[in-house]
Amino acid sequence: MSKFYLLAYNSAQAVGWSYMLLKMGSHFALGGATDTLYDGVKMSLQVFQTLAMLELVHAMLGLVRSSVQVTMQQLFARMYITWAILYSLPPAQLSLGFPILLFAWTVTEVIRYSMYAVSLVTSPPFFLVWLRYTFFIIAYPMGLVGELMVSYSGRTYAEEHDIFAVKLPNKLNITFHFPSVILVFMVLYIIFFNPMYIHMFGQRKKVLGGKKEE
Amino acid sequence: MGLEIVTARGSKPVVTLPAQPASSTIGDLKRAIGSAKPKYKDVNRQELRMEAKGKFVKDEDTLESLGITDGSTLYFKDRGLQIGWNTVFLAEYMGPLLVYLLFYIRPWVVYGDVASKEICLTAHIAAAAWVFHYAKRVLETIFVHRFSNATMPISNLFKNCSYYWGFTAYCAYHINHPLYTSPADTQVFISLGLFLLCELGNFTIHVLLRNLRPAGSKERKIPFPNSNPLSQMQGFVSCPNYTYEIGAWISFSIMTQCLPVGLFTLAGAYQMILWAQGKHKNYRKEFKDYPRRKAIIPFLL
Repeated sequence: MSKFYLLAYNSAQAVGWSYMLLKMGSHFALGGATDTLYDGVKMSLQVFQTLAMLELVHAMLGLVRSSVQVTMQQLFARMYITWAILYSLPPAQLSLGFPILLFAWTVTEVIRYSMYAVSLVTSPPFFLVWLRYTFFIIAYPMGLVGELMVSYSGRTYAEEHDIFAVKLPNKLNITFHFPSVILVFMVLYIIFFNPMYIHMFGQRKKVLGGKKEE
Repeated sequence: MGLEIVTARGSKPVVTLPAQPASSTIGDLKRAIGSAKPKYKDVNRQELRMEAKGKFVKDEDTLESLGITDGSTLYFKDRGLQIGWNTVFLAEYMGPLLVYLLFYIRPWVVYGDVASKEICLTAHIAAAAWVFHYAKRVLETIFVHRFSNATMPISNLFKNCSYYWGFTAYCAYHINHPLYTSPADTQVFISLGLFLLCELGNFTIHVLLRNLRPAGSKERKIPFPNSNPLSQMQGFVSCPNYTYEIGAWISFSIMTQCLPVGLFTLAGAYQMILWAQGKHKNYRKEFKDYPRRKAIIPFLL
């Protein structure tokens, strides 16, 4: 039963992200500029990326093998960029970083969700496995650059318009300075990129290294 | 034939030691490996195992007791650059002292011109309590604690210092801010009282644990309450030192009514709960007659 549900979920996501990839392709093919891309895809991005929160439930219920912690980290990063940065800070939407990260995200997700969907029915074809463990080599750095760029583009706006700001005095003696948080997250992204990238190479060696011998 | 020392991962040869007397210990072996291979001169860096993926063997165990004879193979793991527990503790606690005092004594460095603003009594009390807490920790590290392990990996130093120094700055920034608002006096003084009680309780348990273990030994015994009423907590939980520590920080949070301190308390409590559960499990595994207790919160957890 859960298999049908997961098949439906993964297929829907694969379709959604494919749609975004196609929209992106046609936008540029028709001569669209990099700063007008966001308007055309924002609805789909928000819907399908937010829908991915379900994956946290899947992990918690044990429907899938993924660890809750890793899923949470991944989802947090995506939701942060999608809502806290892109949705809340208009200049970020105009950044060149957006098409860069959108390309990395869409291709990654199309491969990932297709892989999951196919794996539910049959053993995935080598080509798909190869894609999954190879595309990351350019997708990870692209994603990092795109996310850093949109974050940076939005910072000044966040400062000037006191986005999400909490100031003193208040009863709980707490403050929230969003531009500082953006900066901290940018640094953390850079710090955590290396171990994650290396981990993926390790995974690649484990999965593809073996298959090559067949 | 000698003793083959190979790496746990990949079984690559490290060194072959000449045959050792049956009564020599793992510690002796490690020193021999350290002489043969200068990289591992610090024996704390060496981990020896009977099986490649097995648990490490203790320094005190003799070759005879482990069944190691001429021609045996032992597996080696490099624990990486090590640093003494004392060193790490002192480094990580200096931050909270120095960083907090920076915000308290020289606020203009952080907030700009604040000459006109008077510091409220609560901020003074908070500074005293904070400094007291960490000065106590430094003194306990030097005079009270007896550690099971001499060293830990050096990466812990950076991780731990970031945690302590970072959170200190976060809390100190808010409490010493010119726009900080104190809660009512009653709240401040009652919480201060509870804070001091928990500090005393925590100290009581540290002394109790120290007295359990003779100097220079790594012996482990079941801790029990003594004549000090605050030690009664030991009868209810495995790690009452953590219980009191969390209690002290909850009190400090309420005393300052400062959410950043509350977040710091939550982070610390989360870590201590994990440690307490681990220790509790070890106690129960090690001692068949371990009394019925919880790990860290009486009756609950």
